[in-house]
Amino acid sequence: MKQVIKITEEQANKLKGKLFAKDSYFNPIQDNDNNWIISIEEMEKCEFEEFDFLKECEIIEYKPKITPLFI
Amino acid sequence: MITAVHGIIQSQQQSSAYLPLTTAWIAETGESDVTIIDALNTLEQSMINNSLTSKIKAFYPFVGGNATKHKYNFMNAVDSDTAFRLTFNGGWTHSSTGAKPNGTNGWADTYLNPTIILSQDSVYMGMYSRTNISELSTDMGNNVINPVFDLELYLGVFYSYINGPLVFAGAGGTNGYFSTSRYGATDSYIAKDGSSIASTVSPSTGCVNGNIMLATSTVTYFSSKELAGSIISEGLTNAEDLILYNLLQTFNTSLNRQV
Repeated sequence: MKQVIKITEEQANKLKGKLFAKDSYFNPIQDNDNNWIISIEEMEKCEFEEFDFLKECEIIEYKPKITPLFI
Repeated sequence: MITAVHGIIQSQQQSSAYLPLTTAWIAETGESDVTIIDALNTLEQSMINNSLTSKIKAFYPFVGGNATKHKYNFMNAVDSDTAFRLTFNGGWTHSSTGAKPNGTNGWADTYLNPTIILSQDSVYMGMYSRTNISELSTDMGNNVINPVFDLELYLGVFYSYINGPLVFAGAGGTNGYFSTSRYGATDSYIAKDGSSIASTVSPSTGCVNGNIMLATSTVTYFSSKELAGSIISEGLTNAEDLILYNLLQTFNTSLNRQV
């Protein structure tokens, strides 16, 4: 079972377009329940103190978003 | 003193012996691992020998073990979007065996738009996967905008839209080199390890007008397959695809990460 970090929409907007490590950008996405999430890797590899709030966020089970696909 | 002088001379001779793309790669990445440099130089020589250099627009070798080295396009090792340097988004693990997305939200933007760089009837993508897994993933290309050009190893089946109808076949495991090509007004195929596994004879319906992505083609169904080489090129024939596969296999074997 894959786990992810649940964040708020406001936090997601704060992370978009920001580096968490050299040459690596945050990518907040929504899961199938429309929760905003990031991966555990992004939190663990984050090199910037301004994002320390991620260490306090809830860890939840990852539910991939089901979207239409051309197959 | 004599040793130092000899060391400088030896270093200069060694550097000048490398081919242009390899020399540029060393200058941009600061790579000093001789095994990696020799593998790249051998690959470059083989591309030249087989007239592939001008056709391949992007080759991401994923050597050096970190995001900074993995982001570079070997065909134009410059840190800019217009050189098709990658931007890594979400979770990736970078190591000597390649670049592994997490299958949750990890993907990379190549900034290469086939409408601008390639043409409707001449497109090719390939990915060298080190991971055998059945997962709900799309793996490369752009499946967001119609017409679609993508490569999907979705639940163990190899699907591809190549600026036209869907082509698909069982992948026979998702580790290996997977490629998809349209090399004329009607001819397209998908291949594994240089051998065609399905093809169509049908006209293209347009050219995808969006950036090629790695580890997804939808920005939803993310892949977790470790990459040890990704390529975007003008359309290649089956014979050229087989040559390219053999070059990549030699390259990865020299780095002890072949599958």
